[in-house]
Amino acid sequence: MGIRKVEAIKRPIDAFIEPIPGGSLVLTTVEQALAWARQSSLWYMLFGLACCGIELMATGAARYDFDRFGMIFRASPRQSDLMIVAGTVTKKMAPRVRRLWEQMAEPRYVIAMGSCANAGGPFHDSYSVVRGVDLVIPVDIYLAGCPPRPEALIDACLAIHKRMKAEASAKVRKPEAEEVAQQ
Amino acid sequence: MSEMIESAVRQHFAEDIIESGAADGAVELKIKPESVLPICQFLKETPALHFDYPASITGVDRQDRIELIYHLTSMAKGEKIVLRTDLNRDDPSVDSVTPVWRGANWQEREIYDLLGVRFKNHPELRRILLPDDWEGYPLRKDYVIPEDDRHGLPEDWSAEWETCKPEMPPECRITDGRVVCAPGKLRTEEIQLNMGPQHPSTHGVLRVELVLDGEVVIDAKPDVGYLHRGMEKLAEMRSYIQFIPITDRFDYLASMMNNAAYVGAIEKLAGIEVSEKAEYIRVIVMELQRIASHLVYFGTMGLDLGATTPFLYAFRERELILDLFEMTCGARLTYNYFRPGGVSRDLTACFDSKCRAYIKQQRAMLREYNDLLTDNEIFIIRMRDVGVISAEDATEYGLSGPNIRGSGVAYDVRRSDPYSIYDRFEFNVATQPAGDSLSRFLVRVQEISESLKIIEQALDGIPEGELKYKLPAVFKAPAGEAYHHIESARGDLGVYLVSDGTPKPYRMKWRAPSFITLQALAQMVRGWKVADVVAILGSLDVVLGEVDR
Repeated sequence: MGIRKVEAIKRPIDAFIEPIPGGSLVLTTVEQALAWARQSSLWYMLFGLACCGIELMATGAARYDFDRFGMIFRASPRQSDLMIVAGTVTKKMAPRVRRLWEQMAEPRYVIAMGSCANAGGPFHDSYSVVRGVDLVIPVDIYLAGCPPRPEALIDACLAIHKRMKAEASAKVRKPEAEEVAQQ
Repeated sequence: MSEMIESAVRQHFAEDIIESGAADGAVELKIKPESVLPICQFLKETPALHFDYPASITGVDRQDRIELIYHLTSMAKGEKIVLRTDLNRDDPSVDSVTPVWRGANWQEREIYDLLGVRFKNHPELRRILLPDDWEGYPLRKDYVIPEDDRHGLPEDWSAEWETCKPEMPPECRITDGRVVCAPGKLRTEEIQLNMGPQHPSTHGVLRVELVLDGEVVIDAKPDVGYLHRGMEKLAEMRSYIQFIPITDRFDYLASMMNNAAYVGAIEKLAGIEVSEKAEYIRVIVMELQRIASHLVYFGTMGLDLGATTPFLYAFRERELILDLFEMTCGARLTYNYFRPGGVSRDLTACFDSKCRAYIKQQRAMLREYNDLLTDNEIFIIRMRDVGVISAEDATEYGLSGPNIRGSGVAYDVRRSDPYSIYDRFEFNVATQPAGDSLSRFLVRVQEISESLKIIEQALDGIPEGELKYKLPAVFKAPAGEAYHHIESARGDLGVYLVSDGTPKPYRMKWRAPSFITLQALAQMVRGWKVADVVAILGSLDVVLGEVDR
């Protein structure tokens, strides 16, 4: 029995590693390092509005295990990076949604989860429902479904990851941040 | 018995009764509006009648008048009575029956909010589901739904926030940048604490205004309506069949039950027979749904009190039920499965074996659950004797389901007013005598086992053969009215359906058990600490989709 030589697994980070005598060195930009850190710990605000909130809970629970993407729920908007608007936004709730979003620190991202948050969904012709949360806050990802499956929600979060990475490479800030800067 | 009730009322109020009849095994009396309060008092306080349970109060806009319909139940005698009264549509007002039953409070406020009926001597007559500054009464037939997307939204969000200015009490002043109070005076005051609408323990968008003395709760005012989606109005704008998917979204933890209540009301209205096989399938899916809902309750109850593991356990088993549902109707949460006369499709071939495998696993896991949470000493200390409500109070508030059974009242619609084929199955109605949070919890844990028993019996008894049901291309219910209630995971879920013979319902009223349960919250939390509010609220298991509709 000899020791078998195990071939090193190819990882995405290997592209950045430069071997130097006595060790190896990772070369990257500050933006990309920050984006990597952010996307690996995308904490979302625990904010279930309606039916979609139950699927959000299911995504965080045993089978779908949100934790493996570094996603943990936070009860406070101050500690959250991501707002998942999971459910119907009513006219009575809209000012609260806006306020919670304003309380989040930048950079912040918003997923409009489900048809109601996208455009009012099955309640679009109701007297008390806001026809899409984008009338209240800017939205990054629109996720269709009534309610979307947990797999779809995970996909939406991966889309946010991609967006963070793209923003880091292009060195652009989100338009929302520019607006604030101009004021 | 029903003749006895009618004659007893007639003996005292002969002049106030305009019409009398009977429908669905209950006496129906049409009375004058000014006699509503005395008749209600009489019905409750006469020992031989004792109508102690205000099941449902409905308002219907008849275009020339506004009709109020009171469904009352006597818990001890098991009797029902329906009172109707017509109000002037231009200035509808009637005496409040809140002095008779405290549970009428929110039901009347809701009618005021949506139909504009003024209830005289009501303790707190203001809007409940809609914002205070809302204009118009949406459930009136001439209400115009605003077309503008920005209706109700402010132009400038920053103007929305009130600036917070701390007020300086008169005995204090600022000296050298420090607040100095008058000597010898320790200042005390009540604190208002806002819990919600974004709060991890309110299970949705409930807001509770707590008044605190230190850490002790003096008063609590639940503020609901943050998820009011106007579903009762939407029912009037959709056809009977189109509305079934929307019923899924009332109580989104128990969609099958909502389907069952709504479709049951249509079947009662149109006199549709349900095939034998469909009845068995319905019982199986409803009981599975009850377990799925109680599992969420079990998990979140633990989560509210700081135990994370039970949540993960309960959701693991819940996923198995969702798999069964997905196999049956293609959806995880919103099923749209029931149809008048049947269900949308038959069970798949492997349903029986998978369901039995699930039952076996659930039984085994229940023991583990109990080790983990139910017998957990910390959990028991947090729950026992906390938030007690007596059987009399629970009845008067109109509590139902596991909440009233936790106070020792064996009221279960499956037994007291059997629907579908529940009279064929052996099961116990789980009750606990104490009326505290732990009792309400234990009732639900016991119900999981009872439901498993019912499912096994239904799987054994399900007949072979094709599933047949036929619906016309355009379904129309004959003109008339029907009230159908079932035992949902949350309690006595009732649907009152009024038809005028067109393809759309004229009025649909949802008797939401969670909405009525929340009224009792203030009484239950008074005197407890803030942390106990979480335990009490969690133990009631309200779903905001159903509270706000």
